[in-house]
Amino acid sequence: MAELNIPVIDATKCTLCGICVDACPEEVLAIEADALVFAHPEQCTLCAECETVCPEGAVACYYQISWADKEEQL
Amino acid sequence: MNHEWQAITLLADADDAVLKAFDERGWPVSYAEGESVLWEGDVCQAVYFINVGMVEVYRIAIDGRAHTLRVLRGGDSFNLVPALMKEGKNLSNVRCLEQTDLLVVERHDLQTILARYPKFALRVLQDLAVRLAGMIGLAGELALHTVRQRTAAFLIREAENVLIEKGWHWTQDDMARQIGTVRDVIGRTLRDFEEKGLIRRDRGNISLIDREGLERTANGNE
Repeated sequence: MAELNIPVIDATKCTLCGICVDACPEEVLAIEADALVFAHPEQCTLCAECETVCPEGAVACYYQISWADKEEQL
Repeated sequence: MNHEWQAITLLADADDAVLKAFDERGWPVSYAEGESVLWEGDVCQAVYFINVGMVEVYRIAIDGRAHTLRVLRGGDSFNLVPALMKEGKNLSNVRCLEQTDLLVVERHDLQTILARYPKFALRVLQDLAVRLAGMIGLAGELALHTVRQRTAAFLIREAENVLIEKGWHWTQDDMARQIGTVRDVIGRTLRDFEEKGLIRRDRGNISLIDREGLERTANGNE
């Protein structure tokens, strides 16, 4: 199970269509030398836009779901 | 005893004779994360008990979309229904969500044990009744509740799970399979929940902030 702070790309599914590159609000992703790469991984906020738009299901962002701290809960 | 049968919920209160019967007939098998255990439509060979690990029980819709029926963990069992049917076929697919150790008993052996130990057979019937109630609930949820309601209910349920055991990490695709929709709808719904202050997404965490708001959403009373 992944526990990463950047999306996980399945290169076997990725067709290099570039839709995720265009969708990323932080310009984290890029296509370089026939591969999808993280050009600026430090800027990734794991917003999951890339996962949402990928038509091949090649991108996965992993989230844990939990209650917020008591102080933050309304 | 060769295997850890008492860790299986269905066998927790079983007599020694029942445990011995399972121990004589059952065997262990391990699967890696992502590996498939069962395929829908295949002839049912056995019933499975999870010693350690986690599996997803799912079906594939006509449009190719996978829908998660249940996520099962250590102590749970699966493929019980077709194992009790005459010439039953597997009703769903099962894949491992992590490294999983199973105990397996052939369907004919299970039927022999049930015929021999009526108290245990009643226990199995009670388990089947609970499963049937769960399936009725799931069918009702899919038929009567919107994706927003189901997503809110799912988030609450999963956050409660994290309180009692280690948390699973979900992708939007996983959530879509669980809720019965598609990835981009989940993406839009989560974004909307975030804008309404119900949740906060922050680098690998979805934190639920507004319990009452989420419960209202889950109940369709926004």
